[in-house]
Amino acid sequence: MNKLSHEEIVHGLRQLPALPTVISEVLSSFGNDEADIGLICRQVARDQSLTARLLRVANSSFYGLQCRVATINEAVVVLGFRAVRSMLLTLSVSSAFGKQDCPGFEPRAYMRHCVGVGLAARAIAETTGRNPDLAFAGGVLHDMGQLALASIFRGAYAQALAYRREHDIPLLIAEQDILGTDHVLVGGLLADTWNFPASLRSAIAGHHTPSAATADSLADLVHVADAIAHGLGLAGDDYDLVMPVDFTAWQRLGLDQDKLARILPRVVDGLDEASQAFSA
Amino acid sequence: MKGVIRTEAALPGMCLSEAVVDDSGRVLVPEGAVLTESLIQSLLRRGVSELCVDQATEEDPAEREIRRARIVRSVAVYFRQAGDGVGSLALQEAILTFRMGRGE
Repeated sequence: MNKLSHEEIVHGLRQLPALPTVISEVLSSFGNDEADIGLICRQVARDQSLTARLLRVANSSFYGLQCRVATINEAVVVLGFRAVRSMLLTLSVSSAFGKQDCPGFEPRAYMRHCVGVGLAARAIAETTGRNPDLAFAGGVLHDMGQLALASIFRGAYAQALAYRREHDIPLLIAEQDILGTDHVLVGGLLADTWNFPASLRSAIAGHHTPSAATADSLADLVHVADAIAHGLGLAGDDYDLVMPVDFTAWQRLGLDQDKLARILPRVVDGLDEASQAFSA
Repeated sequence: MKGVIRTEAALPGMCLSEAVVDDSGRVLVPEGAVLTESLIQSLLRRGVSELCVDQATEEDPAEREIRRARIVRSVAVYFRQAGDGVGSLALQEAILTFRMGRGE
């Protein structure tokens, strides 16, 4: 088939529905310590569907709260703005794509893998002194280029998925062979289209090439979290495989057997509940 | 049936018939705890040489080997293209140990 041109991809991404208006405010708050949290809360409260989903996640055992929160303001007080912000972003992106019907693309397996990467990234962040809420969002969103490809280029992406199964190769390679592009590049372009902060963009666009990113980016963390999720087979996909773990990323994070022994149970034990909570 | 076994010979699934205590008498693992692979490794690292276990809960060694081989194969499948870099090998080892400990 003909490879996808840059223009086709950019044009296709522009056809995707815009994120809710309030998410623009949420995104701009990443680089602004003086963001008006009260304004964001009031805007979210006007979106009943988003508020309901946010409260469902906030009250799930994922956050382990001792008491229920009934409003977004309470959620911010109890969980902190950073956690609520990450939650809003991941919930909005997952619902922006609507129902997937690309042959060979399994939305449930996709979500279980991404939430698993989010949990692993959060656990690694806590172990290595990074921001766990940002790491969780980066982990959940790291493969959003796959969602975009499956939504916009349904037929071509189905071919790439079939090619991957036929040749038992990493998805990234199958995408490049069939489409001439991959979910990393498309995810990066989508992050640009939606004005994502640089930290999250690096998690999405750099998770397969973390050594090219700076040491303080999320790319290292999400790269290793991705390997953990594939290594545990969280998606339940028979064709799942771990790509080689980048040496630089591994060294920078300084993980060892003791740290991994603390991280792995948190990923597996939290997966079912978190996947359910974050599913649309 | 209760018995004393060497810690190296302990198997996941065995139940402690007496608590494991350190030199000063503090309980490290309570009576009734079910052993896991990681717990056994942890006790070995602490120098605990013997355990009192309820032998009735002991897993059949042959069944244990079958289970172990199944987990090794399953993990190897996921890592079939991960190469032999330090990160890939360390992660594979950690996941193998974790899954052995869980028995799944």
